[in-house]
Amino acid sequence: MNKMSDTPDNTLPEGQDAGDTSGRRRFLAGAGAACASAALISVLGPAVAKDGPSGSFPTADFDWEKHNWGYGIDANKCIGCLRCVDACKNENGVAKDANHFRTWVERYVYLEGAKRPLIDSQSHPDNIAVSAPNASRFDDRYKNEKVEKAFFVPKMCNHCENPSCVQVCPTGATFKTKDGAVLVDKEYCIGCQYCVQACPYGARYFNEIERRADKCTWCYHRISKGMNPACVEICPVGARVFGDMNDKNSPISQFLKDNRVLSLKPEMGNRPTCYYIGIDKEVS
Amino acid sequence: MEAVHAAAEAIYHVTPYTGYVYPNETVVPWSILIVIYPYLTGLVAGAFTVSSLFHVFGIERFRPVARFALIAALCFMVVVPVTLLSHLGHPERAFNAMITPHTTSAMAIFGYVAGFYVILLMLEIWFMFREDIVYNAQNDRSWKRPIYRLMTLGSYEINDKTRHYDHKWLLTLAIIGIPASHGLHGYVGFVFGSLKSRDWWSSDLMPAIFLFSAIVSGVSVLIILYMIVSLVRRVKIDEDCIKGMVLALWGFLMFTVLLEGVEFFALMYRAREGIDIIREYKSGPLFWRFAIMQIGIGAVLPVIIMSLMVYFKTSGRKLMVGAFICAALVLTSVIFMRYNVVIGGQEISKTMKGLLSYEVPFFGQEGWMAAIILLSTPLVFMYVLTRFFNPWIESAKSHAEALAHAK
Amino acid sequence: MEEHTEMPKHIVRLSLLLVVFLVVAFSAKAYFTVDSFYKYGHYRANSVPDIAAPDPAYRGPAYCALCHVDRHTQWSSAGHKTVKCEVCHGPARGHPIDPNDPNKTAKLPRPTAEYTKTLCTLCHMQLTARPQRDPPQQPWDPAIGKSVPWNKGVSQVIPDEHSAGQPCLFCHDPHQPKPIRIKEEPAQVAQTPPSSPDKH
Repeated sequence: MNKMSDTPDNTLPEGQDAGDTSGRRRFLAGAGAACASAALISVLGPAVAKDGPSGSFPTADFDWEKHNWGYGIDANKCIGCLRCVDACKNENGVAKDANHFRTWVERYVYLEGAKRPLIDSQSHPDNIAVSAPNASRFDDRYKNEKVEKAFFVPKMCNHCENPSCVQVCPTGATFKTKDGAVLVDKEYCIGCQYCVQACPYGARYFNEIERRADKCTWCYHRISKGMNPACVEICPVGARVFGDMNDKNSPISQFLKDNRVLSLKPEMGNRPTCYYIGIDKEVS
Repeated sequence: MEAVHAAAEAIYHVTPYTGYVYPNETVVPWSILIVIYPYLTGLVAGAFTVSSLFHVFGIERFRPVARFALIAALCFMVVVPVTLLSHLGHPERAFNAMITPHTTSAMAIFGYVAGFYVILLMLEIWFMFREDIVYNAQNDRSWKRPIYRLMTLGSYEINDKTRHYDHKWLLTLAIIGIPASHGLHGYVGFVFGSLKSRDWWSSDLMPAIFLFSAIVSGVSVLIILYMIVSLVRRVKIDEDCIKGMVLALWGFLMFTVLLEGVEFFALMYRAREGIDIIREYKSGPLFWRFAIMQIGIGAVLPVIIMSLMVYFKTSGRKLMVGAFICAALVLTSVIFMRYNVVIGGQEISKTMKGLLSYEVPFFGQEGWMAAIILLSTPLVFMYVLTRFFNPWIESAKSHAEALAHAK
Repeated sequence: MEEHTEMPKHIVRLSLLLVVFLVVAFSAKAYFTVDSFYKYGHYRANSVPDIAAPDPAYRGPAYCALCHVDRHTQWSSAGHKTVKCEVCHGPARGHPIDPNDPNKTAKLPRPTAEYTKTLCTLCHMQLTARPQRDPPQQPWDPAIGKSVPWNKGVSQVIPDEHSAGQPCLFCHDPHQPKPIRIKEEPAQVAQTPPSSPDKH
């Protein structure tokens, strides 16, 4: 039995077992039966054992207790080159199709006199048609229109303070780390996709190859090595900003200090830690 | 890797859309299997309700179907996890949700509630048929005998004391079962109603709507199964029982229509952000699925028919035909309701600026065929289980004696 | 009412069976709870080191500068200095050593002259919603004695009008786009566009 100390709630007096020796009492055998008693167990609730690791966690050179990541997006700067989208897919092995993205870019176009913007993303069929492998691009469909206002908005997981996806996950396969990233345990996820439904931002998708939920990790394998996420690293115009909000001199702290920032769908109560400037009321 | 991706593209279904939807939304996560999951759970809750009306509330006219209702409930119930498991990306990990249940997750708690309820149903059936089990363990001459013997737990004791205990247990289980079965299904409604990401789902009324539509579907399926089985067994259908079930269906159905109407009109009238797209959806693909099938033909029409039947005190053959038609219509309405909730919710984009149009494929894991197979397996289970527990006779002993007497 | 009498045998056995079931279920839950679960919260703590483990694909200009010193110097002093090496050359993971064969060097694909028409226009094609360079000319700041970096936007062209189908490389060195040059012959370069190494 592994690590019983972690789960002290699980131990019943084993002696209760001793009274029964009959081998044929199998009336209750069956898949459903296994569920039942646990209803009582769950009432007791899991006990969190904080036996603190000797070194830093999760890696030898990186202690998540010391960081509090934040992400800034300046939509004024975004040029819609989609280098972030392609870089993300390269970095994280995301399916190279029009239906699975950890980050994507939306284009909002107000034609003259229109009350509502026209919106598309790089996954629109017309944009796919003009793209090449590793060179996704937006088409120039509005070149003959009278455009009043237009801008790009990069989108991604908001790594919320109150993530809906973590709330609904039945197993604990998705969780928020101490440094603020929302991650998915690919070996523990059962693939029910409840989190995909619960995310108000459409940031999650089902990974058909690994048969589990998948999402942006802020390139956790990069940030834990002192690097920027791939999308931030690759952005040629500095529209994406990442850093440690504990560090007053980090790019994100500067970004938050210099700007009046917004978050997406604040009415959801998720409190994103991706902060936007330069977005419009129609962006959601 | 490219080849792997190409293979993956072949296994998921890309849904066309209008307006703007988030790119990841073009693969609809929950499909037909999640439509029949609440449908089956609803049949369980409804069938159990009918059985409780006899066992706890003492409504005598439900006696002919009360025992069968429990067996039907169990047979529907055991298929419920199968629909969920077939939908999972990693069914072999499903027990993770029970080993480390996340207490904030509606879905994790569902596993416990469902498991608890399955055991409750099995116990209740066991107590109900205990005298038959003991009788068959002693008198059955077929291959089934060892199974009966196993089920007696080695005790053949039948007397006033055991009857007293069995009755107490049965009543206790039935009383616990009422909140359990209704909780179970209200809970399914909560799985949808608690998600704030989709306006179409996010409603406090969702659990109540699910519960009442569950009850009407369960009563309907019992009407239909009871009639068909009686025809096959060539026995007279108990008219009083059918009349009782029609009354129950009539009452609960009016309430269901009311709840569904209130929910829909409140959503339309509040007209929050994104109402444009809901209006477009309502008058577009939803019109025939919701207004015509779910509400019109499936619910309002049977209410009218049953009101007339009640008013004119219809009886005899007309009552049977009317009850059968109404039950079939209600079953249709409820499956449309499940479809409109589950698929409908996902067809309205989270952006509230676009609509997807999902089409259920025929073949494949998420297709109509899989759904039809899963929907018919409870009937097979019912056939098998009624070989062991005959719900249509008062007791195995008296039945055998009657047969012997007839010879 | 009958507490003092003995319970029927089948009730006793059924109750025992339920107790056994509960004990088995409790034990199974404890036994199957994975090692590091609940260590930091309701998740498997060991998944975090796993997620942190993969080798980054994009390495950053400092990594490239370890070898390509001259190119790096040229690039970092010119107008394209915000456009990092891997934007055009693709991720550096596996370069210079082929991870499958340490004795072999793995070349990064270089964009062909023809491909620059695709690559450069990703940013520089005139496009609705793409912020124009603002201000249009890079202003000279006398206080610091050099040009002020642009606040936002990129210079944009209509490719057909701008170059009449000539590869961008013909006039612009991507590492130092201005001043323009005239190349007599298109550069002899590899024929493959940059792509991901597709290793994970």
